[in-house]
Amino acid sequence: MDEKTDNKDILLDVKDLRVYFYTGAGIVRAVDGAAFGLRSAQTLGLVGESGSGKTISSLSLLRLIPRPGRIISGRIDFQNENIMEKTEADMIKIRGKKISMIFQNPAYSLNPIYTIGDQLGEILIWHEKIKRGEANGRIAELLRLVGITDPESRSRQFPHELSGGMKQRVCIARALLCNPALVLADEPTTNLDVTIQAQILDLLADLKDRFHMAMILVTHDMGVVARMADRISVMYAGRICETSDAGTIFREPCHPYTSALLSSMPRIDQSYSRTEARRLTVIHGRIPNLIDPPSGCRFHPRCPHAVEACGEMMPEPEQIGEDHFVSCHLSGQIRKGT
Amino acid sequence: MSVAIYPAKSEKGLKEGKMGDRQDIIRIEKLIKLYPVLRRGIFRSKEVGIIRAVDDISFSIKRGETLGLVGESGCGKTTTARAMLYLTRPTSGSAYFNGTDILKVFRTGAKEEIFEIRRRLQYVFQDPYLSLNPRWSIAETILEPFRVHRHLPQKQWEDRLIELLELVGLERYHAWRYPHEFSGGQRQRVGIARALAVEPQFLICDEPVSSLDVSVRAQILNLLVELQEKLGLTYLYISHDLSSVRFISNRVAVMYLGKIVEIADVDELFAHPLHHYTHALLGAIPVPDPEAQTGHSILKGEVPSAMNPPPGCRFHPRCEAALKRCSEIEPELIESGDSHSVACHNPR
Repeated sequence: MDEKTDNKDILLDVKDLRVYFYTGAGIVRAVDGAAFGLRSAQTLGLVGESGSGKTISSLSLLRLIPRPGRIISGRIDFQNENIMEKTEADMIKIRGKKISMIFQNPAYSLNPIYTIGDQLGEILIWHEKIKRGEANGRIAELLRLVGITDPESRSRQFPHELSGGMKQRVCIARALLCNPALVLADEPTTNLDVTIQAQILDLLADLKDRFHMAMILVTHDMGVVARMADRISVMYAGRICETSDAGTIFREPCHPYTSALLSSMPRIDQSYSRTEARRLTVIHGRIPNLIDPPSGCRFHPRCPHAVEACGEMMPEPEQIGEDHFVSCHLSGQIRKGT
Repeated sequence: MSVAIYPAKSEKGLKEGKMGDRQDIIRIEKLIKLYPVLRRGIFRSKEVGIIRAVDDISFSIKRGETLGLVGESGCGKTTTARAMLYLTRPTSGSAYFNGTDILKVFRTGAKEEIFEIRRRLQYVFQDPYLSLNPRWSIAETILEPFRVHRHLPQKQWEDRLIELLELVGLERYHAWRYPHEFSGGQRQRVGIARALAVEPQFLICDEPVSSLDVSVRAQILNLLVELQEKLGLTYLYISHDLSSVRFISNRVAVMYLGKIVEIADVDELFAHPLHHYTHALLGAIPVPDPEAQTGHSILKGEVPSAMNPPPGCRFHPRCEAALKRCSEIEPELIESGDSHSVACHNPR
């Protein structure tokens, strides 16, 4: 994030984050110099394809990188304190309280052998040091807020008795239990049907305003970020290639990957029935192997605009507009459609 | 690639459609698939209910066109596809392929007849990670249909294998590799090559791109369109992703709880949906444009269980425009205009 702007309400500022996985096949550079940030009550959309490092980036904020991964370097300033310098005991107080998480698959992220009330109550009792009875009241209140009718009897049920959409609502209630400043939502609607997805997205937007919290929305769906995010960071192969407010990303994408990604997706508001329109723009090639990533700009082997410098030098983020950062050697010259 | 690899063979074993419209390559009539719900006891099981997975649906597909079949999970899209190919035994109904009742052939026909039909109707599966045998090389996978069907003399197999690989955009040397060496997109190409090995006329593509990455989806969708143009294939394209359906389909059928609620030409359906469910479904799709996010209607509630579907119109408990008779009389799928059919008492 830009250092010159007012630093007061900057909630999170991540700089030069590197997370490597030491596997038998070699070092996987899952996140390699990512920088992103957001202000309080803002929604940041972290967009990218699978393997681009978006989930690992969000997990690093909680220092929950699974082995054999390790955070190699980076500075994660959350509420003006560096998370990288915290002890494990401090982290336990942050996880679930100040930063909470909504996972992709609600069926796997709820414990099947405890009732809804038990597993939500555990969090409150642990973080807020309150009694069981008090916890039940708060849980019922939150379950009602996320749209679950008859919360008292629902909290006595087990996860398998709820539908997928209901389970995700429970997970959202769980993430909000301790009034967090930041919620990490990792593909919160990918496993849900579109009509349920619309309900959950509306619910998230509504709760975000009500609780005045910030959210990082990790997703591969450009449609979802367009609906939800204030600000968008596009990730490719472990690096952020473009960051800007949502409107700019969609209207004037400056990184070739962003514009290629946008134009390669079929759209429901466009007709394809004429024969000449029956081809989608294709990003050739495949996502690079992160054990041996391409030299220079990670995207250059697939980039239609690549010049010699792209294969030699890693482009650094460059500010090209108000709150618009692009990591591309040609950022000034490339505009959508040219 | 020349069209020569697709020899215009006579449809031996298949009576050319005298009874049906020659234009329709596939016609499904009153297809029903019910699953009994059993409560298992020690000695006997008791039937406690019936899931009406596919409940009396009819549609037809014209030669060379793509019919998109959309709906939410559990609405019966895949069951429809599997039942029409007899991969699961349909409860009743008929499916005509070039005028031949194939379900009857599958039930009572000779083995040769069944094989001949199986050759013409092929299936591309959803998950290319699960539908390829990890212990078989790509060549073995693609040649498996040759071993089963024996439609080509063995000395032509190798040439044909290379043709198929090139057709789907793979290289010759890929033949001796194994699935784990491939990316998702390449695996799906192998799945498509395997389906094309027996020279089908009709392909069922069941969510062929939903497990692939965004940047790879476009490649596979383009490939499917190219193959259709080159080989004159007909597709049934099943998906819950309406944007890819919009791209690839000529006509679209919308399913809800085992019923087709609306069927129309693709542009007509997306521009003027008549059924309230179709309208809500289209409104629920987030459009990749922050300024186009207004006015979406949000559907309340969830899809009811197919075991006890609501009486009358199955959508009426969630429908804003429901009338009294919607809960009493089941609406028929009625043509309401230029090749636009809808099953609704009070269409939009």
